[in-house]
Amino acid sequence: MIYPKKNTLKIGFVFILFTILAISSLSEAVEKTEQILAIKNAHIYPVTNKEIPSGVMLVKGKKIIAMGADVSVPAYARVIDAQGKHIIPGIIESHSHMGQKQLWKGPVTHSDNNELSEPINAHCRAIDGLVTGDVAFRIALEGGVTAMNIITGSKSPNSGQAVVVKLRGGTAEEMFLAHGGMKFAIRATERRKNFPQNIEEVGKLLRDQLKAAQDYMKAWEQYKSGKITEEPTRDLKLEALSKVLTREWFVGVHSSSVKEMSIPMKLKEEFNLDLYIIHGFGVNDLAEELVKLGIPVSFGPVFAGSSREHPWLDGPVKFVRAGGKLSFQQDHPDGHQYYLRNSAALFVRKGMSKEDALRALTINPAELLRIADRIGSLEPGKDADFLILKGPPLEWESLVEQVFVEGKEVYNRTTGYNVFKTD
Amino acid sequence: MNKNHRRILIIAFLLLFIPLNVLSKRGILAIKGGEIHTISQGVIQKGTVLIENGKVLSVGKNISMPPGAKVINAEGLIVTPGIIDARSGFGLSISREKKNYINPALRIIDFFTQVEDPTWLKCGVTAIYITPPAQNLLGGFGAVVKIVGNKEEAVVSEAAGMSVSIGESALRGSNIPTTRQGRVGRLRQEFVRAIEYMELREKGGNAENEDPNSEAIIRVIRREVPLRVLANTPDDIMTALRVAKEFNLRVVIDSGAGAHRVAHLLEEAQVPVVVGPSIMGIGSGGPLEMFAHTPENAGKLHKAGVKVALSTNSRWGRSVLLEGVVAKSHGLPEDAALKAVTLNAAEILGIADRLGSIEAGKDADIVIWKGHPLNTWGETRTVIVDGKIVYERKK
Repeated sequence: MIYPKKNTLKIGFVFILFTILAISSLSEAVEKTEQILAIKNAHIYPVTNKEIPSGVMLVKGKKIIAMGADVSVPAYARVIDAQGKHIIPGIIESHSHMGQKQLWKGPVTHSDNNELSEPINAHCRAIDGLVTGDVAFRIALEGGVTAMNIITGSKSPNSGQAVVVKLRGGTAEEMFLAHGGMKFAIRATERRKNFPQNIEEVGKLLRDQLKAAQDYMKAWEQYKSGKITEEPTRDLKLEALSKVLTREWFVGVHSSSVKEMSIPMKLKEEFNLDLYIIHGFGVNDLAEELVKLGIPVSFGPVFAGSSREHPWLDGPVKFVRAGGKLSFQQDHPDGHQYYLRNSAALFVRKGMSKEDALRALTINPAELLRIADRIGSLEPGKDADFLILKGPPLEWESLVEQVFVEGKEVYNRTTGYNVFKTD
Repeated sequence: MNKNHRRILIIAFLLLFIPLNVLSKRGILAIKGGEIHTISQGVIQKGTVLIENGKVLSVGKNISMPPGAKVINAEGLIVTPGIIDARSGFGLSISREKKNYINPALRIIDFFTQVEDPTWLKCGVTAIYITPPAQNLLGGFGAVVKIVGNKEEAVVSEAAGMSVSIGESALRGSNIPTTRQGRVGRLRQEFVRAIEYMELREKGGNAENEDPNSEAIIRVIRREVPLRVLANTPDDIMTALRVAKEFNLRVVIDSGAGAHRVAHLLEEAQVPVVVGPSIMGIGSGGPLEMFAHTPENAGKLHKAGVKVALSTNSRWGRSVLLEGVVAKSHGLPEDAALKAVTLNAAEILGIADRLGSIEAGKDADIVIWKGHPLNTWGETRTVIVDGKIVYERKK
């Protein structure tokens, strides 16, 4: 082997340095052109603003930067011609158990969403039991769902804390978007060892816990202000419930019938909680009262026995007319996440306006999950989470062709690419 | 009796006929001017359907209107045969037989009185297949009923299929046997027993020890009734085909989530598939296999030449047309999707002589639609069963 002379080494070093510089500046240029994504000729539904029958949406990095009929496309932008296509914000599921009832490892449906050892599980967090490899995420994305609140189950009166995730692949930390609030469940028919026998007792149990949390908060205040000297013992359950009392967290309350729904209505009045109702099949009889109390409803799952003509479709229509904030849910795996978008059309058939139905898929769940500053509508400054559809958004025939989360393509029906497809 | 008397009698006799004749003309119902999807003979633009005595009298473009006929104007509307749900869950709500997993003699029709839920009709569904509980290895005979009338009027077929379950839903249901091979082994044993019993009967023996279970299975062995095998994975489907071939049985695959993966083999064996439901989730603890349902299943099967019908497995009148819209949106041609919920379903259920298409001589089960039934916004206007208007949408 011949060793190079010192000079050659120097020249080599300079050459390498130069090459590195050249490549880095080149890649910078590439980055610049890739930074802006332009969707042109698209029928855009911003949801919070008027429809744009043919317009341009510009995306830079993770955010929407401009949108409108007159926005010009920069020469260096990557362009998607969406002629004949319809663009809506990514759909938001307000109540799902995805990644908790594991569907990908053989025939045993492993269920991690219900901690059954005790009735109050305020300290349990859904994110700790999340299986990001659940094949269901892939299917949900194909249906246009880009964010969901993954909630603990309803087999104990207080099952734990939910987590809002974005469907962008990766680990639980990478999917994490926000805390998903606390979950309560009111069930009249539950016959489990950790569930009281009637709903009045369930209500009492939750009320007692909230009162205990009030005392707990008081004790800490007294300690901090020096009124008592002994430090109170930390209790993670009561700590979590304190955040519900201060409205730092909202509460989703599983309740279906009119009778069950009366409990969260009372809790809301008594403790001034920020709560919404999950399922809410009794909404037809309670529409006005719920609106008066400012309680939103996450209605569904719509296909569990439902049809084009089922009478219970009338409830949400009435609720929205009365001014209520409605969102739809599929309650995966009880309902099928792929068809969340489809469910909206059934209510339009019953008299809901198309605008209200689209809101119930996007901005309404975003608002009740407190993530409307990031997602739920297409506006400059918001995350570029959007869908390219074959046709008008509420028509079943309008399949989701492409899904973008934070400016990145995560699903493409034509190529078959899906960010959750790891095999 | 003199001549005058006789004349008067003859005149009176003749007079009797005149009002009768007018009455019978009045009994004709005519659907006029609609876009008629006959299913068996294509689409007739601005055609007419004449209905008399509960049957289709004639259908076509240039049909003269009989005087006195009651006319329904269907201009700008679509006319189709009544929609058939090839596997509803209605039967599950009337029988919960779970004790015996070998129950071939059970007839779901014996539990049936009538369908009282008007939801089906509002959706345009006029006939449904009702099936015995799905968990049983041999569940018994499923039946076809119309949505109107009491039992006598409603029953179209008391034995349209023999329910068999070999997939995951079966494995969850009962404790013995616990494996797929165990269940299929038991199934073969039951068939063999029935064949031996049949041979003995034919020779004149065993007359006093009648075995209802074997009697039931013999109807399947004789190919009078097809097996309806609830199977989702490609392997379970192939097992159904294997058993059917061994005993030379007619077989229909129910649910069939993974059927598209063995589509060419199903075509080769001429085995139809009753696809669905695709839209439902798996429910709490439902069979995991259901989640394998791809909305493209029906389209792929059709493309391979497999006869496809659609189903909801719904107890409460969920419209099978929702399955149709999904299938249509994912590759099943629109006319094929409409055929899947009408004539294909009728053929698979063995009732195509009466239902499934608009043809002279068939039952007048007809739906008039505003918009195409397989469109998101398609809606029933008038629903006719056995020539009677049973639902009209108030405007």
